[in-house]
Amino acid sequence: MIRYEAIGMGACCQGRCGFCRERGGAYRDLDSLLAELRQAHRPLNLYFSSGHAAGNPALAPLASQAVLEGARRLKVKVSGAGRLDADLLALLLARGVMIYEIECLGPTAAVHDGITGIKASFRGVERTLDLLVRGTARTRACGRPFVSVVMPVCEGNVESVGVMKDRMKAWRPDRLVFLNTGTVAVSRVVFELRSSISALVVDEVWPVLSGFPFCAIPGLEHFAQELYDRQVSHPAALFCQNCLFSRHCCGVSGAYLAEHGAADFHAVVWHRYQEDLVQLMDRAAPPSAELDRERLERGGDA
Amino acid sequence: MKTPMVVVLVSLNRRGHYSLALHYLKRYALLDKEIKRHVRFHVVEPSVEDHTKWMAARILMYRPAVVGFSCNVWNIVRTLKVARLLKRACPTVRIVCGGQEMTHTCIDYMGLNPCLDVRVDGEGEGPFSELLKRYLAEAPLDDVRGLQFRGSGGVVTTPPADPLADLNVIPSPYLHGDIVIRPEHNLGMMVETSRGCRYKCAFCFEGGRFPNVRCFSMERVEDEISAMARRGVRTYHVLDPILANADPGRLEAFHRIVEKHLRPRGPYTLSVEVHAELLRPETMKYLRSFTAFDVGLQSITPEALRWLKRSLSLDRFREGVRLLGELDRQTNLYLILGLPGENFFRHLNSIRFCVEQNASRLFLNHLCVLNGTALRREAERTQLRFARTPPYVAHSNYSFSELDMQLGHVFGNTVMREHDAQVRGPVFGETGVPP
Repeated sequence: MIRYEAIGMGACCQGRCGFCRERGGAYRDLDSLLAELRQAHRPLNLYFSSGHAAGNPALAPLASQAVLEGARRLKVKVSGAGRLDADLLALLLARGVMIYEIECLGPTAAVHDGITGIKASFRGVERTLDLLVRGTARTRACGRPFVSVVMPVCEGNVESVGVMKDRMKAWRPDRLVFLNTGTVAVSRVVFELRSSISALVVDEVWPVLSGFPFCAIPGLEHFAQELYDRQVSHPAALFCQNCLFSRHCCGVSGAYLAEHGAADFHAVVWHRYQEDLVQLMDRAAPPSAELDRERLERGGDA
Repeated sequence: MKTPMVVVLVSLNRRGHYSLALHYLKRYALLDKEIKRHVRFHVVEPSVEDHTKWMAARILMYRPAVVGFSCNVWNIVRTLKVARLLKRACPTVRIVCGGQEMTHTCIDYMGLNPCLDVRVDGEGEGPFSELLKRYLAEAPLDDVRGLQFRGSGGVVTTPPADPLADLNVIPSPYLHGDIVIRPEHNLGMMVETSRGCRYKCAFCFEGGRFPNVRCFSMERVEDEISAMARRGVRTYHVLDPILANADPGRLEAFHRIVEKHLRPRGPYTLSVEVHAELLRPETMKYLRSFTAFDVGLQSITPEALRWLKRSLSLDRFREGVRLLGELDRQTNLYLILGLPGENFFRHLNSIRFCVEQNASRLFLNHLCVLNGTALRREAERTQLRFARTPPYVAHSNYSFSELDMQLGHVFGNTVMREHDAQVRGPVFGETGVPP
């Protein structure tokens, strides 16, 4: 719902997740980051993105400069690779970085570590989440950050989607984003999701479905990412052309259709709340140039 | 000499609050010579979370002849428990209830609660004073307006009382030293500058209670603020829904009071309610004195606004919030979840509009169908279902299903947390530093 301007901190991830292209690389230096900061749109809601953004030593000075330039919200991507400790978190909170996003690929070490290929990376996720949500005396003095967990759904963890709710009950983040990586049949993911969603809501963890076309999530439209934020969109497939939501929906990628077919999708021609949904998404829709840029950044197939 | 009649005035307060109403009642009643001579007042303000028996014991300690309760949505359940206990322990004590919860009520409190002897409906100062005079004279209550009481043939309701024509006749509890502001009082000094509201929003008490807006004189407000400033109070909350949009002369006078009595003493916090659409560039300079603004938007859905009897121009609202933003003060936006005419997606649309305004904080409150409001009286027309116990939280209505309302509640909490997770700015309750 809140729009952030992303500043890539430089890919520096050792994970070997099959669905992700960010691997290895190096962090960007402070000068280039400051140059990008100066060009960011106002009001400043910044998202320091990329694999292990919090590990970039330039983050703290960059955050300080952003605050000096009037930033309202600072969000950063952290990882379970052990680079966020209580000292660093207290420093970041003191600099105004109050929103944190962390990827978790499954509810157990076997699933998570199996996908990342890094031993004990799940333990790192657990430790980081515990630090973010419960904190230490020092970090609590700086305020409770907003914590969002992202679960990219892929072949290695699709069976675990339904179990994530149990983990969330213990971890208590603010939000859980199920991210469709397009590598698994959507119907399989949605089947698993249905068992999770109501339990998450009861536990006051708001679930978000990112990258799932409207036609594939009947009854779960409340959680569609399109309602809250801009979305990466794919060129409309033939079946999308008569759909009520064709202008707003993330759509389906060509690669997905080639691999899994179009059986899970259809044009939505009637919806009980169609006018309200369209009005809402019209308000949320970003300009197309921004979408194109984001699509390229994310490696979409436009 | 006649034994004085002991009157205990009670308000079960939320943590961090105090009751201004009790002191108004006491000070107004003491204007009468007979009351002054023959009545002894005690004000008791326990926390609503205190133990019921302990509260009752604390009241009975004074051996009261009359106990007056100030009833509000947050304390009515506990208040009635205490009243029942008092009546059981001391059947001769006369129990009088007044306050927002008793005004224009849709609930038959007298019928449902035999422990209550009198219900005061509406502004309490006048009727309560008259009531005490009748008790002193052991005279019947039939000619006191604004009451419901138990007569020989059952419950008697008298015609509504006229509101006081001039609010300045009520002596100021602040100037009499009745109220001591302590650090735990979240709102600090509650500065009541008027009663009533020119808007008649269906969910709110304020507009419906009084036909007209009446104001305390600015001289009195100045005396009160200057007295409290001298006592070291640094947090002030203005109880006036229209001050910021009042005629420029009144706003300018308030601005001068702040400049004269608050600013020279260092940092302070001063909050006020604002109708953003009605802000005018020429009066913004007077709003510089304030450190926080509460802006009630409630909804942007036209159908919901029709039920609320509110009008809204989005462009003017945006402009108003922009003007407030230029002041660089804390601006809080308020929305209501569960209004008739809204649904989950329309509510989200209202939230999105609020988020776009870049306010300091966002407050998404669940609709409470308050007793005595127009929305409550029209509940059948809107198929409004709500809890039968205070705070009367709405469950569903003709357009908003129960499930969607629950989802909206959880979503609202999430979005509030993210919205407010901002780089630190001034936060209400801390002392602001206006330049």
